[in-house]
Amino acid sequence: MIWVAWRQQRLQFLVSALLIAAVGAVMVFYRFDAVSFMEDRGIAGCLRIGSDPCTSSAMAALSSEYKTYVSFLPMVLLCLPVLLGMFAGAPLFAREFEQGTHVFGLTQSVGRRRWWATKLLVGGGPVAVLMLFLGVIGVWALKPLNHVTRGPLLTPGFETQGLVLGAYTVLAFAIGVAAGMLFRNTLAAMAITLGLYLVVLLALGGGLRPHYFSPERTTGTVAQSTGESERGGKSWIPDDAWRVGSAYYDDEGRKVSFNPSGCDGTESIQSCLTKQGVRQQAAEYYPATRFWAFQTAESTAFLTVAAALLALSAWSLRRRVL
Amino acid sequence: MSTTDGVAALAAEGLGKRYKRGWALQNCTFELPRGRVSALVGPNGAGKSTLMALATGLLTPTAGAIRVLGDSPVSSGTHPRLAFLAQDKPLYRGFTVEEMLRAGSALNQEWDHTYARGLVESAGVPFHARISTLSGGQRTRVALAMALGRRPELIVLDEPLADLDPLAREEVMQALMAEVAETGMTVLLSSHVLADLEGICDHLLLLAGGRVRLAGDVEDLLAGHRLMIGPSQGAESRFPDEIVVESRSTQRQATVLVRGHAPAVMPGWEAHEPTLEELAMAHLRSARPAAGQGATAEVAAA
Repeated sequence: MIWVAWRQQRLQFLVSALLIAAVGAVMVFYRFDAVSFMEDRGIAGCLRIGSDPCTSSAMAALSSEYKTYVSFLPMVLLCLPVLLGMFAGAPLFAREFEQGTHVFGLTQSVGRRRWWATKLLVGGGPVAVLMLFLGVIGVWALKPLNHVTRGPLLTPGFETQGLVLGAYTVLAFAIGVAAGMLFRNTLAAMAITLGLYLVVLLALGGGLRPHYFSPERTTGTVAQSTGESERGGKSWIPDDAWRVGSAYYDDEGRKVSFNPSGCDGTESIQSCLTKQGVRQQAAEYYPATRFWAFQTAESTAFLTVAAALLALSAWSLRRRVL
Repeated sequence: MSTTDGVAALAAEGLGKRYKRGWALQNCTFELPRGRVSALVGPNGAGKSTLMALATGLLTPTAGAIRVLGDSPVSSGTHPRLAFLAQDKPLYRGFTVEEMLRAGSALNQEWDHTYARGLVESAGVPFHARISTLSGGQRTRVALAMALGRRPELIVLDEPLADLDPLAREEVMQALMAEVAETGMTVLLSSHVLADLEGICDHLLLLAGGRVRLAGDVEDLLAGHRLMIGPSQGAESRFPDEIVVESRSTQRQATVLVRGHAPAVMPGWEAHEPTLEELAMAHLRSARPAAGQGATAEVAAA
């Protein structure tokens, strides 16, 4: 059964593997390129703006050198899982139903469950492992560009490295499999994969991710929170942290609202805050060190949804094959 | 798996299958003895494919039970001694013939590779050809080899001859019957074309409207019916209703199929043993819903 499943998926797997390898090669190349660029400028090892030599002007030079790459890479990496789901997951069962070959496969001496599980593992396993590997390479490859990606927690830096790439791929694949099993039409399954994947990515990534853990909170005066120039360009909170909330307080510590559009553009943010009666500011943020905790939480969430979808496809197969 | 020789190759008892739109098969009881070549005959939608899918375990019965060589179909694969050839001969299109045979050996514990290869070879199908490039006849031969490679005791074929040209029909049937003669396996074969089955089948299973209308040994069935041909005037009152299967008449001549032996000598009437096709067609026509019967009555009255 394993040989049959492999033979059926061989082409898709080879194309996927080539695609993943190409993206991986580009990332590795840019890692070496960035490291040598930083050595040339004497800023080797600088992850964020800090004390000399990691000055804001040196880091700005790094940003301008690599911002094209850093803005282009996420487009590729965000598309890759859903493309793999559409081309490896959606046809896995849908095409069998379309061509009637499930009747052949299920009238041999192989049970339904084994047929399902083998096709699933052979069709999705290797691709998911490769994507996981790509994500781990990404952590290493994007490290020197930490400042350019604004840290590993912010979108799109977070989605393009680490464990989540594997989890995203598993989810996209599971959506394709379940849609293919339920609708028995490759094209419909591919369309559903694209749509549903985006919905889950936005719902979990956009809606749920800030709430996986409770953020750290810091409070300071307006001067403390805005005086970047006095700190050599260093932000009030680490500039690779993920800021998830702000609050403003007046003289008596009462919460007030701040309307950024009330600033006229010529004044500093500090004077604008003061003008609107803000004396103190609080920020909620996650430091970049929470990266792996977030990666694990997000991967777990995606894998849970994927498991539910695969269970749905197993139920559908058990209930009806013709 | 039981291989006790006394057990019927295929047996159904009160078998029924209901889909959302209604019963496809209802209250079917029959036995297909071993070593027979049985024709499964019926109009479209009679439940032939449903019956076959129930035997393979692809469908589960809504009511009653079906037994393959004494065992109930389970979801862990089709009975190892049953081979099924579906109507559209599903094979993996991207595979070569060689790879298809390898798939057969990978998907079955019991698989006679030499035998299956030999069947493909004698069909003259090149091993390196892709399935998608084969002609209809070649494809059927490969699919047949895939089914026979399992070394079945019971082979179930759903319209194996549909969409083949007359020459390919003959070749496929010859190839199948040669193996049947060799191995003594039981065959259940459905076809629209009754002429294809004449002289090949020794057992008949006639389905209409989801029910078994006729089941048994072909010789017994033929001997148990008489085709009466005589003048159409007064034909309808000649025979008692309970023995008439179907009667048709033209201006001059009436043709009546009756059960049992020909009634005592009737002047102007001739009695024949019906052919398989005449027998099957008469039963199928008589099983048609009221509209058909109405038409028959009108013709008879004219």
